[in-house]
Amino acid sequence: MAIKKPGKWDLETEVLVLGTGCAGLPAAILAHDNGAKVMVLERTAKVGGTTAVSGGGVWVPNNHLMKEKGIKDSKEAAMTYCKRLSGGKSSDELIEKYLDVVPEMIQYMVDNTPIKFEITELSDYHPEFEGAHQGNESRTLGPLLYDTNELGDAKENLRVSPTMSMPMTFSESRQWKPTCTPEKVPWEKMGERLANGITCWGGGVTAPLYKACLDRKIEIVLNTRAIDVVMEDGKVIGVVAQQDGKDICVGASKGVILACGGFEWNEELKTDFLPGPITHPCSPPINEGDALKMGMSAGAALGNMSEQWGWISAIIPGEESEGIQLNRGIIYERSMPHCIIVNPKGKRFVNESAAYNDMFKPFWEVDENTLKFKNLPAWAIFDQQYKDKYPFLTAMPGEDVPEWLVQADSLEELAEKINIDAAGLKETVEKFNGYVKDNKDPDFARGDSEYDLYWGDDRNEPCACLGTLEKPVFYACEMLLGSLGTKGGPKTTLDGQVIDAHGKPITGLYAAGNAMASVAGGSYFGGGATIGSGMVFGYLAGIHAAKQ
Amino acid sequence: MPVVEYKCIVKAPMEPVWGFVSVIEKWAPFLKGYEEHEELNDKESVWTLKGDVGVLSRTVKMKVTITNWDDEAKRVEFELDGINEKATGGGTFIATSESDSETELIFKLEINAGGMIGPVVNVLLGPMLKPVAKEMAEKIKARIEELQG
Repeated sequence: MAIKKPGKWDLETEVLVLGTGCAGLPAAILAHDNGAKVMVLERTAKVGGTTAVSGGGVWVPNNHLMKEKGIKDSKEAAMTYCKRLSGGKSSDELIEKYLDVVPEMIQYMVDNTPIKFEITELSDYHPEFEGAHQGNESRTLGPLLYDTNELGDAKENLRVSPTMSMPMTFSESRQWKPTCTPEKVPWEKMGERLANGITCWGGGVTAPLYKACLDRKIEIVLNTRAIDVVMEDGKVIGVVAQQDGKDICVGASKGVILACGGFEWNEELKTDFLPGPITHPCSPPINEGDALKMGMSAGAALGNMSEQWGWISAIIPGEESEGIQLNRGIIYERSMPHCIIVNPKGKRFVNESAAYNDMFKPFWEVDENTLKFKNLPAWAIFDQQYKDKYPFLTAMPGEDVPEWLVQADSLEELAEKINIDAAGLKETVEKFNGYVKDNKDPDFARGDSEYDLYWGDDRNEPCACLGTLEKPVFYACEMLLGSLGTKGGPKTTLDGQVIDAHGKPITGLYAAGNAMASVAGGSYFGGGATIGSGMVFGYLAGIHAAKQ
Repeated sequence: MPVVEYKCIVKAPMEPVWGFVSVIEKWAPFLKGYEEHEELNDKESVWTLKGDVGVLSRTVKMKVTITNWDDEAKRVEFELDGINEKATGGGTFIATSESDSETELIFKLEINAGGMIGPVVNVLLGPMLKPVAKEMAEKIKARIEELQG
């Protein structure tokens, strides 16, 4: 139940933005640029939200850089592709709005903030589908390097990623290939950049957008967590927030924009809404469903609640960030030659090289007889060929085997150590090795899609992501259920206004990013579809709220 | 290689200061992130520490070897060798009598992360070392002064 208007506001503004990620910062910038007085509340001491720990790509079909390079694209092609992926879980109108606005939004940001991008070589996540783009005509933009010293003392407020802090661009990463040839990375240069305050990846998005807010003198109030909405006559007019152990009331005469993430760190909400567990989210441990609860409090209709941006993770026991176990995202490791993923029966159950959101889905498959998740626990299995050539998490090729990797001289012994079916594993590996020799994976089509090859080793012949497992020592690492964030929440109008159960806008309440019912439905269009949709609906919400 | 040196004046004569720092058990818990240490012999020990690298925290096991223990010069030198992380280093403890009631304590520590990404880890380690050295030296100083009444 929403809170009633207090006798006196502790803080007042016109547009109040909750959250400082890819949705909140553009919302604040656009609300300001459209004439509103803006305030941002951030629950932590750090600015950047989930975006700050991400890869920082933005999925922008038909963008200005593509045009400059002569890469042809059209809204119609992107629409065909997005509709195929979303499978009806998102409205055509919302998808169309995204595709209409995303090139305009990114052009606005480039023209009016310090953020800069380059075209990457990342294909759409299903480049084989109609309307999709291949890597040589990529729709994913990558941020350029950004000097955080531009922020002055405020640079200390930036959220820093525990795993994506290496300051290199997408194109540099493609050139050096730290996942295949880490010895080619100029690590001293990376060290110098870090020491000199240079950031990239998600920091290449959040730091310049934060600077844009500072330049506009937008007030960002840290350590202030909004927990409920204040309503009067069916209209949202502010929030109640926790600050220094006290509840304060913040008035917002033009609107409140929920941009404070999903609920992947809230056990109760996950149990209530998701069809399976997310045990090891890769986002900061701050997304506890605050926006969802505020939306429900205001009477919002909810959508896409069973969906999340899936991402398999793994842990190095004892490695912590923000005082808790760090969950590391797994991506290139599973895509490299000489590595497969198996279930307790020792059987493969997924195309290991498929895009992260989609390859996550079989991890939630339920056995109809036992009613247990049939593929859990799942294990990545690889051999010495892999270990000699490629990194696995922080274990670098040629360096000692860390204690957190299970190792054995035979597959049988390895299976015994990780308590999976040894005969099943042996049979699976023999079959897979045969597929490698035939250069065809008839079971899971690994390597058929261009996307599968992106994270592989293009020196590996004949296929960048297929390689035998035959050379002892054999290794195993448990694959855990991570997530980049949930993507269900309040349903919105095309301008980001939250709607009620009858489809009527709730005046004064907006949602964007992982706080809203996502435009992507259950899918993931391409690299940066998360940040792209966050930015677009933050942008639209900021404009709309400012004009009230 | 990240290096830090921290000096402080302990308001106590040399003998109790040296008596305190000579017994590792007395000051080991003052080292930030200290979890445990096991003495292998009178020169070698294995230390388990939880250390910060940027926004990451990892449990590190280091072998510490005393290379020079000079009771006369009041000087201890040691070497560090990472067991579960690629890192080497060393350090010194020096106590110098300033007067009958004051002793200068100098703690020097250097750590060099190895492996392919060592240059990056060293950048992150650098800013972490000074507060660690300062905190430990100040806690030792406070404890000795407390014991002196």
